Amino acid sequence: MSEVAHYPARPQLEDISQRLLREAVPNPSPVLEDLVRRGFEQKLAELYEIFQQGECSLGYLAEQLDISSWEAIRLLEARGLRTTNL
Amino acid sequence: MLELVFDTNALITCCQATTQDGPAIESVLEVCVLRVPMAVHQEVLAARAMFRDARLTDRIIGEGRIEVIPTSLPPDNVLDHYRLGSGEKESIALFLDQADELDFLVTDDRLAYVVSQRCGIPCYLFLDMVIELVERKLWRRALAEGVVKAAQHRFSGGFVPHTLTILKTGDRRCLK
Repeated sequence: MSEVAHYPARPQLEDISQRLLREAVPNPSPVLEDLVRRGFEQKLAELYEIFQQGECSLGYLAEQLDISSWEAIRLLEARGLRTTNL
Repeated sequence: MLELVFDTNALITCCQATTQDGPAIESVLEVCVLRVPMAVHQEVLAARAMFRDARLTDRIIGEGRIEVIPTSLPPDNVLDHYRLGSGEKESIALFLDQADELDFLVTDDRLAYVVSQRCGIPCYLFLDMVIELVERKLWRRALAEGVVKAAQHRFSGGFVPHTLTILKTGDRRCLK
């Protein structure tokens, strides 16, 4: 029997956006946190669209979000999105 | 032994897929020499604290069983005009640097696959590498089928059934 290795749903989008924000701003306000989370989500949606069209690679998507490809895959998996553009 | 370059995408597919024989990466390393560029290693280092499969890869690299090769890209090269990440670009550059010693490059990214082909690189999807290993009698068919099923969540539509049919019939055309 083969098995698919399952991983925790983390990292969630919110975890990543907050980590990136706190690297830049030590004590962000809740408003700033919300704006960054929404901005991150919007950017992910835009990148995912061109990724699925084969116009960018997974590595490019990850670099534009300042995360690794491994983290990008877990982020997409946690949101029920495809992790390759094949 | 086949000598291959893996980009991050293929490395992730290979390290995620686990069968009763263990992680697919271990079965690949029994019959292949793997090389990755520094940028792919950097991504492993960034992810190892968070993900079990990245930790596995980091351990294998630390044991010297995957070779990490420093690779440089000239400024303003043609690859910079594509929306590729550093790992994909360095994987292509690594293959071109060492093409005489290598069999093919493995990627699971559509753009990296197309650009590699345009650079004259023999480029395989992970699933096609699995077929190749069976055709060269380096892997048992049962192992290959297990790995394909374990990796199926990474692929859309026809890729997995096509691969399983090729493995069963030994015919890539599969239309008879």
